Amino acid sequence: METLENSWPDLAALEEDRQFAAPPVVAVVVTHNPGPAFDEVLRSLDAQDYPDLTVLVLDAASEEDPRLRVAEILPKAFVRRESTASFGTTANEALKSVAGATYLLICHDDVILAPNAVRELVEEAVRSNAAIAGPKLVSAQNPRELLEVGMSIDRFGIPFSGLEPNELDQEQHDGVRDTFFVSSAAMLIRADLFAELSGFDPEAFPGSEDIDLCWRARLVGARIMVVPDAVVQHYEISQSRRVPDSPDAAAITRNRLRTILKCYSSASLAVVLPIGFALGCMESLVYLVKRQPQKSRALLSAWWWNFRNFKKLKPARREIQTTRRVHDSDFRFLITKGSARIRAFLRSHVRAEERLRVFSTASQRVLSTTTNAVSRPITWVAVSALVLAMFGAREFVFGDVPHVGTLTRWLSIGSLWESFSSAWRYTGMGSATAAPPAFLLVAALQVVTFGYPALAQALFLFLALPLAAWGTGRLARQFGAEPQIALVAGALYVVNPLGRNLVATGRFAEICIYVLAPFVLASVLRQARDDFSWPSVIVPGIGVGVIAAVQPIGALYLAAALIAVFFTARFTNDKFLSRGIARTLSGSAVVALVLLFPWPIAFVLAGDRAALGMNSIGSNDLASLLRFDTGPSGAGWIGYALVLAALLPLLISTGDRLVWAIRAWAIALFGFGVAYIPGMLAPRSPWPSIELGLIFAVIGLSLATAIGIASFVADLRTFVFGWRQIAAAITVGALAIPGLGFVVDAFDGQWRARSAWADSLAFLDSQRVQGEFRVLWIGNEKNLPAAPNGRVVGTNWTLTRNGVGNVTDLWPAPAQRADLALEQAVRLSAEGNLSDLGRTLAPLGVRYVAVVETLGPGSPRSAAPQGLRVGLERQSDLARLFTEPGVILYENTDWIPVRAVVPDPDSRKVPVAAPDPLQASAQTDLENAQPLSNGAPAGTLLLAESYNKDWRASAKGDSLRQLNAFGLTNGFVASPGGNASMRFSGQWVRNLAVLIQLGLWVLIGAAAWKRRKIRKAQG
Amino acid sequence: MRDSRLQRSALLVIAALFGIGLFVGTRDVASGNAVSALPSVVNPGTPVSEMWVCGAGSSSSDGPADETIVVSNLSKRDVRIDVTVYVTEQEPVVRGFVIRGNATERIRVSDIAQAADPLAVVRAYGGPVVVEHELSGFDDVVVGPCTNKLVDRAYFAAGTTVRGVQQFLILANPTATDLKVDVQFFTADSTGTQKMERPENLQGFDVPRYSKVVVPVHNNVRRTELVGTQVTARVGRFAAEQLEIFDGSEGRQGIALSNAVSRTATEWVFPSGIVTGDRAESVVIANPGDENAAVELGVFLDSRNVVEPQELDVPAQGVVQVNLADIVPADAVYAIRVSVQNNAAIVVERRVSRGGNVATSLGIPEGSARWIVSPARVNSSVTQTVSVFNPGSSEREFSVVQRDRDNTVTLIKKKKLQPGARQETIIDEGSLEAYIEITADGEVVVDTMQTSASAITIDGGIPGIE
Repeated sequence: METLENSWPDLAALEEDRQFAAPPVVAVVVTHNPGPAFDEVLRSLDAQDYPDLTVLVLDAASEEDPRLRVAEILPKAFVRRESTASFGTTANEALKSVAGATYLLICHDDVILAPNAVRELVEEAVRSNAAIAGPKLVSAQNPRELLEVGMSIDRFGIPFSGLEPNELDQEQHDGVRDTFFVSSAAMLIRADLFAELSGFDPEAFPGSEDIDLCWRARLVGARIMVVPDAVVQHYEISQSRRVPDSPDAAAITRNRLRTILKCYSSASLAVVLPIGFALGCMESLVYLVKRQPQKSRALLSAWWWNFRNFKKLKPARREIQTTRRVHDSDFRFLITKGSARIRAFLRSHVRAEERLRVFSTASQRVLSTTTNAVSRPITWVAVSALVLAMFGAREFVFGDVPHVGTLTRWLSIGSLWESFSSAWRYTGMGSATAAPPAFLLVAALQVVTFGYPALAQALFLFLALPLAAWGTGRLARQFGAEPQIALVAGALYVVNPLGRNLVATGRFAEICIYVLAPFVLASVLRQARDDFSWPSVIVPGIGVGVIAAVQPIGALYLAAALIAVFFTARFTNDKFLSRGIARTLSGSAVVALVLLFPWPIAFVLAGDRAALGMNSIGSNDLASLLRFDTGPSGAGWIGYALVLAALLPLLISTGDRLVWAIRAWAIALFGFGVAYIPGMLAPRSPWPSIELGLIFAVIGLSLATAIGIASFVADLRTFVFGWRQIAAAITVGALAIPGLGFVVDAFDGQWRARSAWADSLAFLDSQRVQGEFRVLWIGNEKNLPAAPNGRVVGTNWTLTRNGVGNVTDLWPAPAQRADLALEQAVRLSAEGNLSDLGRTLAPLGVRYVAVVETLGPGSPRSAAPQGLRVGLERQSDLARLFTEPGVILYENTDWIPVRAVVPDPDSRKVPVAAPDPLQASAQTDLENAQPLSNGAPAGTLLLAESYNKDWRASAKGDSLRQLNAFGLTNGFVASPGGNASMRFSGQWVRNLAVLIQLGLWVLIGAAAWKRRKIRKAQG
Repeated sequence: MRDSRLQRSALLVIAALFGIGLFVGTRDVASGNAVSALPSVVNPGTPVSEMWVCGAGSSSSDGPADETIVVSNLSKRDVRIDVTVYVTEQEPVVRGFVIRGNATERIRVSDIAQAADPLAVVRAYGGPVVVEHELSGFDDVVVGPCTNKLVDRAYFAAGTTVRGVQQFLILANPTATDLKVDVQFFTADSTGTQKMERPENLQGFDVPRYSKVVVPVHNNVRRTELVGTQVTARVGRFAAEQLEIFDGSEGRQGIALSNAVSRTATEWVFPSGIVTGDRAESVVIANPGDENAAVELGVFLDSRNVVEPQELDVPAQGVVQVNLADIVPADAVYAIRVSVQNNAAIVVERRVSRGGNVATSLGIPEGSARWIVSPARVNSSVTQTVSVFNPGSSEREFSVVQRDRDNTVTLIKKKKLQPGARQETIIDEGSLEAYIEITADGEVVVDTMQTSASAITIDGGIPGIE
């Protein structure tokens, strides 16, 4: 018999029991038409070592009553049958049916719990104060195969397990940790929380009920954990259920979208929705291409459904948002980066495992970058700038391209090829030199527009700034910038007024350099970190070659900018980088020379500064250079902010960022230097355009500023509050005003590019019927419609043929004697030492002389030198024509067509090999000369091209004797009249050169291709 | 530690570079040459072609002043010239000549084409020349340089439309561009009443290409003592001369020729001047601007005696005459400098009368180290005087040489000139075909006067531009 004493429990033990008393757990098994595994499920529950576990089976309208099966295995279990087949609704019955339980274990009817599963879950929940805990799910068919160890979602609400397909369990994920959600297949949840959340959202089934529940739990501050020591095998029979019971893909997509619409804050939605929609559209498109219209439709219908039902969703969303205690950013670390949908898509569509991994990783990286980046306001500003960069150029595509500056008319591919392969350069006064490969580059741009030159030109301008930003972003990556900072660097590059001014003033060559230079710099710097090999410098070499083809000095500047980086690398003891730059740059230069061969030879032999692009007078106004005040766009004195902001990293950065900021400044200083110093030292000598130097200054400043912003975001918090923070705030704030200028300019649609003389004087194009002619343009190089052929009396001059010129006039040939004579004639006129300029220029085919003082009608005036204006007005044979203000147009009353015949007996007046060509021209009145045409009279033929012995003429089958007319041009004597023709006979040499050049390109292209293949093979 | 060193170094380098750049950039590197106000100059270097326009004159008995062109070749080698005579509604007539080295040729325009109002244009190829023209009529001969600097503005100060005087404005357009000009006059009567006249028919007035137009000023403005003229081109450039014909009805007879200046200036110099019993001189000051001009007239006597500078107020768009006999002692020889004391700019012309003859000459607003005086003398009985004045503040040395067609060079005078001093050289030797060259080691101002029993003409020298 037990004594009284013995009947009383031991107080100490009682206290211990109370302290470790197992909280009551009710296992809520939701079943619907359970399969054979259901018995195993029940047995596993029965086998649990947890002391206080009650089982409640909730049947969701199964066709067969499960009570008998349950009673057979778990006689103490409770069974309730529901009339709905919805998981959520059924599970929510627990709210009514269960009382007194601390935890609910929500289970599917196809999970087999390890005997210790409930205990492990409860112990960890108590220990970690977790409101929801989930087990490690493994495949019931193959228990070594992992199914879930805690779940995450991507930003678009797509679940993500983080596991590779068929990944084996090697305890590699066996760490207790927080997770975004756990599957409803087996989920331990605190009963009071379940009640507070009103259980599952019935509308979230299928596909999102567990995500929704856990998300809402998170928002009220609950902790969710995965407990890998609790192992649950899952049959996943929902995947193999009969069609009426199988999950509806469209419903799943719809519900997931619904969940994010409900749970995200408004700010997060503003970021996530556009990207999610874009991804959805892309995926839908891919399904459509793959002839899976149902899936494609399901994706789009999910968006459409939610759009239509958003009103219904509002109350639920309002409730969640009003009761939330946690900001989205507090659990963003639990949301996976990238798109789980793309990953899933790849998983299902790209079979090769290796590829999947590569694709998966890459896409994850890209999307992670994007989604991470868009969450930062600064990145939004950068993205907006890039969008504005296209918005601001819309009129180029939807309207006409104004032929401002050197944005002259582009020729067709055929015409460009003809110009390229011709042995005679028809620019200036003509010359027998190799044509620039730039002709083919312009032709290549037309390939994407199927040969429509105007459209290609429009696209070129439309994409110029965005492409430049892209290139700068790539370059910034080489400067150690994170992706979003690279984005900022790109945006800063286009926000600087220089780029807009280049477009507004029509600086074709500079625009090309503006776009290409960041790409090529990035390419060289990237290659500089690798071991040197010839194939490795092909790509940077091609870049250098392209820049040199467009603007030879541009390539030299590029090299010099890299040398600046080289020296700073030496200064900062980065010998590896400096050596790499030296090797890569040298190799690239060799590749570029080979690519351009034989074009550079013409320059080496001629030594013509104009042909190299040195036509500008420098600026001795450093202040305006520092403000990038080079055109209609700018921010006045606030423009200094662009430089000041770039000082930020030198003030606040540390470590690698500081080093790279110094390198960026080296490029900027180089750019400012070459823009300023030549003009300061020799203000009247021709130099490369200041904009060319400023391009590199902008590159350097953009990189430095972006690095500064990165430091501002990352490093500044490590300093105590002081001048650094104030300086950072001021400089970043000051950037807003140039940014505002950029926004205002964007509304113009053409970056303020206006019609130019090429449009206003287009009537010149129709004057050819009276014979071929040239137009001599004189004025500041910025106002000329073609690249300057030279400088005279402090300004520039160029020639166009038969009108306002075209793209082939943008690359002057090395000056010939006739070019120099023309230049001298203009100089003498300005000095008052020539009063018959018209007659003097007549042998050169010059019919019009245009002095351009503005870029176009209404543009700011850049007055031609007074002496020149007066000198031209004093000419006795130049008739001034009525034109708009800004251009002074004269017609040469003594002009002779480019191809003319001087009838007998006047033909004897043509001076031959005159020692003083200008004197001879001025004294020779050939008023009877007429255009060469069929039925021309007998006489002397004149061809106003620079004299070259390879010109030939024939008439009536006879070759005519060539003479050096006026000591400058070609003449052919004793033409019997009738049909006469003239041709250049040196074409075969050029054909050979073109063949060699094309051959070299093929070889280099093949080498580049081979290298690409090797790199690909090496992964 | 390393970071802060790097930061300091980088900031220092940037600050130093920008500082140096800004400091150096403030230097004024621009410079430019002022455009000469004179209508004819000798350019430096060898011109390929040069055009001289001789607007006034006629080449037929219908015209008032028979014209002879005098061309001097300033180089040692031969120069080809084409003299083109444009006659209204006729094809131009061109005649070619070769002027031997340093030679001077005289070409009567009537030998090329005969017309009442011909426009003679001389085009020279291959060397520097100076071209003057002689006009004879009404028992008088005047000489003046032709124009080789076409202008878009022209000014005259000393015209008159009183009874017995016909004043003509000759506008020559030797270019291919039709000229359109506006003409306005600043007049003052003997009481000093000022009036600006802008005849409607002379506004937007056309001068067709390759032609000249003779404007009878006396028919377009009131009869008045003083008439200053301003011609402004809307389009084109031109050469302008002013011809006055004194018919003798009022005691004055002969012709006076002035060549226009192209801009107003703040300082004008006349190197030569004398007031004697039969010779009177006056200075006429026109102020075409919108601001009254505070003018100081200084007289530099050869005797070095000091004459108190005269202060004058010339009203805006007005014209004022100063009789030098009221200022300088009798028989004094002098130079004159007229300068503006405020921001206005003026045009100054001198009128000299001796007996019944009248001569006019515009002042010289700029000095030069080289001057050419053409031998466009009427005949060997004429006395030609070359006056050199030093307007600067330091001593100058000058020389006067005569260059003849056989390339002989005769040094006539070599002297030093104190600041404000002048020297006269009488050219009583040498042929009529030799031109005179004055060179100095600094800027001087030169004019020449030719006098004979029946004529007087004053001719500013032709400066050389360096």
